[in-house]
Amino acid sequence: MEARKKILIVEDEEDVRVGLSRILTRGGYDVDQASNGREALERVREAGWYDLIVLDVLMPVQDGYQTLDELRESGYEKIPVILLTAKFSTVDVAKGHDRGAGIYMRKPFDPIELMNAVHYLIGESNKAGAASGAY
Amino acid sequence: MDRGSVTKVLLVEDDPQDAYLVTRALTRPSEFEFAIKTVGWLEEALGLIRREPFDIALLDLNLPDSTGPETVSKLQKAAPLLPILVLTGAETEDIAVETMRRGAQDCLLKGKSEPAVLRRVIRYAIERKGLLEHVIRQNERLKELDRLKSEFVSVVTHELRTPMTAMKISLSMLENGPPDLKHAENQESLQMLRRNTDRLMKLINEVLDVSRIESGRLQLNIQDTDIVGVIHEVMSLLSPLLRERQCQVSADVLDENIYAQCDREKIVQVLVNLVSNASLHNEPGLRITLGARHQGNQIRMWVADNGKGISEEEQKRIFQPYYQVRCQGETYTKGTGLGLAIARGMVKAHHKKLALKSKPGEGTEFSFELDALPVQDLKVERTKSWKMRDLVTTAELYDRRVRVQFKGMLFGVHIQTLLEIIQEVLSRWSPWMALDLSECTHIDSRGIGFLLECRALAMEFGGNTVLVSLAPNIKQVLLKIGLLNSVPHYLSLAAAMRAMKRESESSRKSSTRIFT
Repeated sequence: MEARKKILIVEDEEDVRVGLSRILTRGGYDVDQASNGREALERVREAGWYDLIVLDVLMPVQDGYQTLDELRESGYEKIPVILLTAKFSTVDVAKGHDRGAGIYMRKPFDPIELMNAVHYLIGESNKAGAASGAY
Repeated sequence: MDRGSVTKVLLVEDDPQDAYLVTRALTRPSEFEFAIKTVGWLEEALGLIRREPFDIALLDLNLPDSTGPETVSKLQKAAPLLPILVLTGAETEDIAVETMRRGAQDCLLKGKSEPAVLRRVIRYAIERKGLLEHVIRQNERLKELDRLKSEFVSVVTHELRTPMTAMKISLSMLENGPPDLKHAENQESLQMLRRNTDRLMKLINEVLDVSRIESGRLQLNIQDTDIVGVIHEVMSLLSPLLRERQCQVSADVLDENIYAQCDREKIVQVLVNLVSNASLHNEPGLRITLGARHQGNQIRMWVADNGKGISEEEQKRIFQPYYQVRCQGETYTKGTGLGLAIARGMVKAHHKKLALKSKPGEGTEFSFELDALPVQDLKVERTKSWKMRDLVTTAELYDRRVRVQFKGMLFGVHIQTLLEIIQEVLSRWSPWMALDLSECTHIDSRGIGFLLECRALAMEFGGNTVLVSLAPNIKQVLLKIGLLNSVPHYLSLAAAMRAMKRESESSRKSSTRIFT
């Protein structure tokens, strides 16, 4: 049996974090939680790998963009990331893309859309991995 | 510029002949008086305006130390609010326009204007400058409003979107959850839905409050308010937050009897905002004091903490709506930035000021005053006392209204006798009666029946009854049986007497209307 995919949810709003984690667990994923960017980096270092990170932009201690930067610098640039944001402008999108975020979700999003994005990104990075493995 | 006032003119002119002509034109007898000071150098003028106020400057453009339209700019820069009237020897239209662009109000050809015209031009220039300043101030105000609007959009979108996200998640969990709504998992989703609906509701109320405050439409419901009760209510309302933030809150009141005339709900909100702000913007372990003291005819209230304090720079800005204090190096803030603006607005609606004293590293104190409930000097006209076993009863007549005070236990055994005495007092003295239970230690069901009988008697005689100063345990009993909903009660004798006076006067008026 194929191992369950692991997802890390980084979000300071407890209701959103716990709710999303429940929905993704129901969807068949293993889910870890962090409530700010610094905690997220600790989780990633402890676990060594996640199949996907769902990352809120506006957080205390360390925001989403800083966290993305540090993830890239620490060699985790291949982990696909979904950014969650309440503010939404072209500048935000560009900032995310520059840092390699896969998908931007604007709050309030439909949890089904998030689930679709998760399925898509996890499938995508698998394919990319398989392709690079073939070479 | 008013008739009869003296207009102070600074004449900057190096040619004595020209200066003489202007001075002569302005010192002719006229309904408007001018006081003129003349200097020959721009440097002198710049020195003088720093020391003395002037209403207008008349400026020659060919001075020993400055020539051309540039002269206007130099003077304008040194005194932006001073109207400038340029006097030139050889006027060309280009120069005139150029001086106006640089901030002059008008440009006149020397020696070519009638004295009356010169005087009029000066007055118009002063008026125009005043209007211009007014427009500039209005513009600043509009810019500030525009900033508020952008802040509003940015804060509100974030604060709306976050709970909305949680609500969508809870709905989705309910849709896909177990079929039984009572299932623990569904109950959690419902709680999450409720929490976030409340949060949205709170945001909407805050935004509405700010808009009412900004437009001066905040309405107060002034009532006699027990301030110690308010402080305890605030502490119990906030206890979950304070526990979470590990804050210790204590009440600093020396006297249990602190009563103010204010809008109780609004003052509760002011204190809630101040205390929750203190707990949210400081490290856990904070100590907060909520205090109240009599100060003359005012009640001073304060919220003090021993936290990190607020810098002078921030003190100027924290009352602006949507402004949020940011920790150094952080772009993140929690909340709407409306709490302090609302607190200040609500205190201001009471015609008081919310003061702030703070030093970084030492702590912060917010304070304001409220009108103390006035303790009227009530002149006693007649007194009668009875002692019946455990109950001492005193009936006193003040200002044609009766106060009956009970000391001890208001139990069934005395009541028949008491009612007879009360009936006598009502018929001989006045049918308007305050029943003062502040020193009554206990009451039973017949005692409550007695209060209602008193009321019925008073109404029979054409008056009415109010309750005053209930002891806490008695208040509890009366609240429980719902009596306090139907019988008006007041915190002080003075307030009760005032209320009865109002009522007796209005009933007299209405009965006059009926019988005439």
